[in-house]
Amino acid sequence: MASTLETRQAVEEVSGDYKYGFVTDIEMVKAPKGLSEDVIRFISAKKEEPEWLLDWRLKAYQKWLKMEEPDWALLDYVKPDFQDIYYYAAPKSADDRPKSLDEVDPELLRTYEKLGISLQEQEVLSGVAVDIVFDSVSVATTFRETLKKKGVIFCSISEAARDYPEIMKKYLGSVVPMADNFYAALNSAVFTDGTFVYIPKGVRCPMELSTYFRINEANTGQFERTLIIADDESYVSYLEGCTAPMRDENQLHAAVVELVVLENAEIKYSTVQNWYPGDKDGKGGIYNFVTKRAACRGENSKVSWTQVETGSAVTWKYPSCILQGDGSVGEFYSVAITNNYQQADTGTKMIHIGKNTSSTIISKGISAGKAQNVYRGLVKVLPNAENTRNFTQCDSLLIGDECGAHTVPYIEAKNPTAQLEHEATTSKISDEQLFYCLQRGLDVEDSVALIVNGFCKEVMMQLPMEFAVEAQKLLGISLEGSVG
Amino acid sequence: MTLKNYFDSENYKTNFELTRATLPGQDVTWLSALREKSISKFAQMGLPGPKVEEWKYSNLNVLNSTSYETTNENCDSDEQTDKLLDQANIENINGSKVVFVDGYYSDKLSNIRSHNGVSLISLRELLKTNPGNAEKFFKTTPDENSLRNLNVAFMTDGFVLDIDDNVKLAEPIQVVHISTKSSDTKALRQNNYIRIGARASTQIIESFIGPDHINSWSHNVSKVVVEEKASLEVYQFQLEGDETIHMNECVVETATDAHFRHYSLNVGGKLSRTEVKPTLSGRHGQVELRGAFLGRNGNSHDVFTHMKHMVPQCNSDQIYRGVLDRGGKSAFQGKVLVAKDAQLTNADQSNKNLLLDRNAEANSKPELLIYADDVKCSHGATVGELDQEALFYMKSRGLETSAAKALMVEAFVAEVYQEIELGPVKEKYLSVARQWLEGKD
Repeated sequence: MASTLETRQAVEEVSGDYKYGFVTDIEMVKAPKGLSEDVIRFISAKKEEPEWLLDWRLKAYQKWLKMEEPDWALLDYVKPDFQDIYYYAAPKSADDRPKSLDEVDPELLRTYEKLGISLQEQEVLSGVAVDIVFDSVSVATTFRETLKKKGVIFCSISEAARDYPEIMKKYLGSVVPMADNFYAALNSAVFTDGTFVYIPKGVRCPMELSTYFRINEANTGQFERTLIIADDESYVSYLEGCTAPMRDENQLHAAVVELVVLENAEIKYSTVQNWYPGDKDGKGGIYNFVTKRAACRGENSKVSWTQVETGSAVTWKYPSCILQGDGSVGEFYSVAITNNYQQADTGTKMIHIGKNTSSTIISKGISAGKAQNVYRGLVKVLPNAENTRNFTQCDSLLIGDECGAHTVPYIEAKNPTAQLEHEATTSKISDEQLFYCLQRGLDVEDSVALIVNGFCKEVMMQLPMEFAVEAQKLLGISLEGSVG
Repeated sequence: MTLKNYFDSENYKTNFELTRATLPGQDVTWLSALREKSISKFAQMGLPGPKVEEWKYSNLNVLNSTSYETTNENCDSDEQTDKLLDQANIENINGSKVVFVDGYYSDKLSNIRSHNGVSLISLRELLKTNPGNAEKFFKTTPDENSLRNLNVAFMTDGFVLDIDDNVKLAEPIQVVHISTKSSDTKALRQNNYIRIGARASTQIIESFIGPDHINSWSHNVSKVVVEEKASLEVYQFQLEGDETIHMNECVVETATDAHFRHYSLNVGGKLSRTEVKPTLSGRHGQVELRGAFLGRNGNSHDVFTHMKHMVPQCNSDQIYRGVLDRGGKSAFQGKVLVAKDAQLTNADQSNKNLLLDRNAEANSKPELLIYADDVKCSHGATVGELDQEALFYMKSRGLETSAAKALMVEAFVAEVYQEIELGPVKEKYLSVARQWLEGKD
């Protein structure tokens, strides 16, 4: 097919130049390279953490030492050398925290401007409170006041450890135990910063909460930790998005996200991930090994994960839901786009424990160039989970004959009243669809963009307004005219 | 006193040393060398544990408490053997019949009809008369599959079917594997080889049967080659006793325009595992796999398929149905691989499971691995109970609950076998399923 060649050229053109690949020149304070108990003590001291948290980190470190890096995923990459990574890097001005935007390092502000997330603009126009993480330390937090009035706690996790030790002690590691897996254990030992959100009983968070993560400074592993607790009858929508500068060496990112949802509460967690995927020869790019898990503890609680994954050289990510409360609901909507030498092994786990629990999984994988894209998911129904319901749909789209799309679902039912459905399809863009668009006067690029947008629509529709714009931009960059 | 754990591969090494002199073909140099290599490779690899992905859902701990020495040849057919043979019998099928008792070919019970261009012989006989000819069926190096190595090391017999080009056999060939009471705590290992020449065609009906309360391990490995434009249909019935470990692996290779069809029905066994692994290595090849597994009272059924599309323009289709009643457990693992250049592949797969009781478990892992872009691949998997509305409808029409249920389950299973053209075989499948539903399996 003639369009295939054009497409491939288009993909190359598009992906040859990573729009967000620039490096900000700010002096960093670093911990010594490598990982040891001393480095963990250094991080803990830098964050002015209480004693119990340091102990917790050290315990996790001891467990991590005994663990082995998993290799069951369908991924092929050079394993990171954990002694060749900086575990702590913070902008120098962090010791002297700015009180307002005017005090923020102008270099930083310019970086955000390049990314199109001017703080002032967001503050004034969009009404989104942004807790920006520049490498490891939160440097500016907005709308704290508005949220405070409602009783919502929205702060960095190190602040939370100091100011809200009781809640932290109760929930930290309660969804993702410190030794849950290799990368979660590593994160537990060395996590540098992240976001803490607590929505009190009966509160509907007045705005969408958002954190932009950014990886800067070469060789700094980024170990974010997010903990969100939605108390009874509350609601919050949380947005997470990221871009990273172009780098040659692989940067490791091992985040942990824990969500706790209590009775009748709901958390909507949306991610747009656009880290540097490496160049077209597969050099460089981010390793993204993330553990995300939500525990629906209360009755009729609900969690909705939406993700648009376009970046990273290697992605290893399975946002999961533990549906413990009766009538709880888990949702997973995902678009994963891989191009060039990108590899993604992503999916979800739905563990049905409570009665009348239900889950929906919609996964759209798009694979182009020499990329490999895997959906890996588990739907498990325990013996006491009466009347559970699951619907899973995994569709894969292949662009070019050198990429791969794989589907590995696990379905385990131990209760006869469960109704589980799984379906998966793999195909390329149909010639008929393309021909139809072409003969209506659209060029190949627009036609393909149209078809791919249609392919992903079910998922894109789930994104909050503010995010949908960015996600569409991203789809545009990674795919428009790149498929055929 | 500590119990001896026979899971240890040392147990099999000891067994091998004890029995090697009595195994068929002990004086054939290439075979003794191969057996030797196979057992040491097996000892190195051990039995697959639950950490091995392909054996994730099978608990081979059931092999712990028994040493499973090789069966001895059992020459006398008794009443029981006749009864089992009768149970496995399919009316109105008149082709050649090959019967194995406890893993050894029984000349007395078999009836091989000579046919031009068809060679059907037991492996043991072939090793006696023309061992050089048997050599080509085996790889000279040990396998990466530990159980296949175990099978080769201990195999006592099997059948070799070679059909010349252009020969179309009108009557199906029947193969019956019987395990008797004397196979208790022992292992029956057979290795079979089937080659269907170009443009030839045949059908094979294979039954595995044994009495209840016999802890034997029936372990079959078959290698099948379907040449250009040839066609092979295999119909399997697994009717083992309730304490039996049943393992059956069928590795198939199809050439250009070849057609392979595999039907199976699993009802017996403490742990039964059916593996079908077709490799489509010629264009326009077509493979259809159909099967059902019915489990209760400690039956654990595993069905494992691995469909490899290596060249363009092939079709494959899989339909598997599981019915799990009290104490039944199942695992369906179906992998479809489409290699890099296998464009224009169509591959479908469907696995549906019915849970009839609270104490039943169904696992399903359909897997697609696709490295070519111009393909149509799909899989569907469901787990659920009987449709309450349909049940209510039938009850409102005056049917007893049990009758209505049976009707629905029967229809659910029958879907697998509806395309079978061989009337008596289709009827046998349905009647075995019906008997199981009535609790008389």
